[in-house]
Amino acid sequence: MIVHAIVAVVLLALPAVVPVLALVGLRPVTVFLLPLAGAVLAAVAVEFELAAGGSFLTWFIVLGVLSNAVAVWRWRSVTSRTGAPFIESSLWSWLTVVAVIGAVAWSLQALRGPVVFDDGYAIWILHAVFVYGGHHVLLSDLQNPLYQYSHPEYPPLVPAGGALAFVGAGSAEIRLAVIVTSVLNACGLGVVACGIGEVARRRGPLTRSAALGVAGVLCLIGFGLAGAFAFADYADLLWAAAAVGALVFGLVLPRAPRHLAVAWLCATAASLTKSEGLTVSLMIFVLLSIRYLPAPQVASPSDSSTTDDAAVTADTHLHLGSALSDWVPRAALVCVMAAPGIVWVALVRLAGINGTFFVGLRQGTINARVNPTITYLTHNLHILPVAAAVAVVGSLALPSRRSQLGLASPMLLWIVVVGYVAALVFTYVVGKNPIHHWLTTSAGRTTIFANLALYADLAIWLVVAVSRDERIEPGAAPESVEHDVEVPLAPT
Amino acid sequence: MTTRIVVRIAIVATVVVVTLAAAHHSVETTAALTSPKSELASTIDQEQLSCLEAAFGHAVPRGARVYIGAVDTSSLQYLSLIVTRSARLTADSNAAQWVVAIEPGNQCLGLRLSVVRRR
Repeated sequence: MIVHAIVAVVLLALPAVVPVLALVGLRPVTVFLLPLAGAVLAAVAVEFELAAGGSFLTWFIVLGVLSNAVAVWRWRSVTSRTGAPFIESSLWSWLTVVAVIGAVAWSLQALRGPVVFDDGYAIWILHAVFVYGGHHVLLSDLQNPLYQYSHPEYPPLVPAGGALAFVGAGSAEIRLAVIVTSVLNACGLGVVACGIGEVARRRGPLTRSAALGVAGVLCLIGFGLAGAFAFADYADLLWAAAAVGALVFGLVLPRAPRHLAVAWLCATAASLTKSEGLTVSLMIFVLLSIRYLPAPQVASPSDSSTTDDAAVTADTHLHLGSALSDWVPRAALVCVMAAPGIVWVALVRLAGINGTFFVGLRQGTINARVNPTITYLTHNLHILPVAAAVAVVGSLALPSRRSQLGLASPMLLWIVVVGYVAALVFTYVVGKNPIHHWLTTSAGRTTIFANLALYADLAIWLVVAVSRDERIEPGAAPESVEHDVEVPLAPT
Repeated sequence: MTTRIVVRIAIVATVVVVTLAAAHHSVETTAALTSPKSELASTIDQEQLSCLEAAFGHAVPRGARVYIGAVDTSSLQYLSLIVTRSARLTADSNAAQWVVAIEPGNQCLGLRLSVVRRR
């Protein structure tokens, strides 16, 4: 079983090695990004399996070859200008990897017992068996009314990971699917932790120690938030961790092409994992487009020496009334980044498969659903008041320290968290399921994202508070300037 | 300057306390999941599913069209997975070659798989 599990994870990560190295270089985050990027590739392969026929494995191989070909072409064009691709040389960065692996390994002990229940069987493993069966089985089973209880409209990333494990083992072994999803959960948390480590990049030992410690603790917290669901083939921790990874790299860390690449991969993973993940990813993509394609009037081209200042200014000026010409490229960027997640929604609609949350008679009036929704969500978002207080105090007292670290305004992270909670309240209140049962069985899982994002925000504030004024690590290597410098993707 | 130092200390203290408390909860959760009691319960569930699956595989040929009889939601979910892994689940009882259901019994740790051939 262990050999099959290792084979499954290697199969998942292998086609992503060259593309991820070409996009990000060899950094701590690369270690955790590889299986996630492979899972994205596998999920897109399921989309092709559903839309065009054939088997899942065929499409996974075709997409793997294509993405590697594109990556090699890009790698050659980049290295011809800059020399070898970036390889992280800082000992602190790799210590972060060790701390993160230690933290997730502790939590993954829970896999010793075969913990699978409810949605693990009823949705995710079942869908993995559909995917494993090939186009005809996948389409007919998703359309089979008997499987309506399994939410056939749910996105395909977790089933794709399971199906790839089945391919490696040669049969539909339930435990393999569970292990692969748990490893992906760990990788999602690893990306978040590496993002926290990046906050302290090139700072002194005290700041880096604090970042390293809080990064490891954050991994433990992520598994704690999900509890048994993290090891029972549920998708909730995976999309939440991936989305928080996208938040940290895309909307908190300094603007850089590699951070955008990590954010895009993570948000795409979230959008292909759960419907809530698609909602959050769309919010992140919109904010990414605004942050990375700021309106021309925000900063003039002559400000190229103050890129970070321009980034901070851009972050704090979200001009909704900008001219149409500013928004067309942003809309295009959002469409390109969100395409994999949106394609799945379109495919299941075209196949006549609809979600059940808003179908049928609503049980209880909307007014009667508001109070329990607020009560349950408040109970589950226990960290919200503390995180809000720290964010307000930190923003008022330490804005210069935050900008010295090149970080964006915390407002962006909070916009996504508040937007998600609002979407959650809307879904529970307007949805048709019996409200108390629905909240009892799901509120603990649907709030993982918001809680994890708020804990990540707290961790970032800890690093900001510990960091000293401009104490840059003396031994820090100049690194690959072309790859590592914080450059905007568009003229500002 | 003093205010900023106080704020920094307050933020560090708050975050340390809150995150360590949450991490402690996580450690307790993992410890509970790895306890002998929890592992035994999970193993029993897993063995029950494996037993039902073996009974199904013994009685119903691969690829057969199967209809699930009257069962509760939990049994429906178990049975759907068992059927889907080796046969074809059909919503049309007239098209089914086999009808299966889960009943109380001694076959699989308190449950029994009922299998009826239709044609």
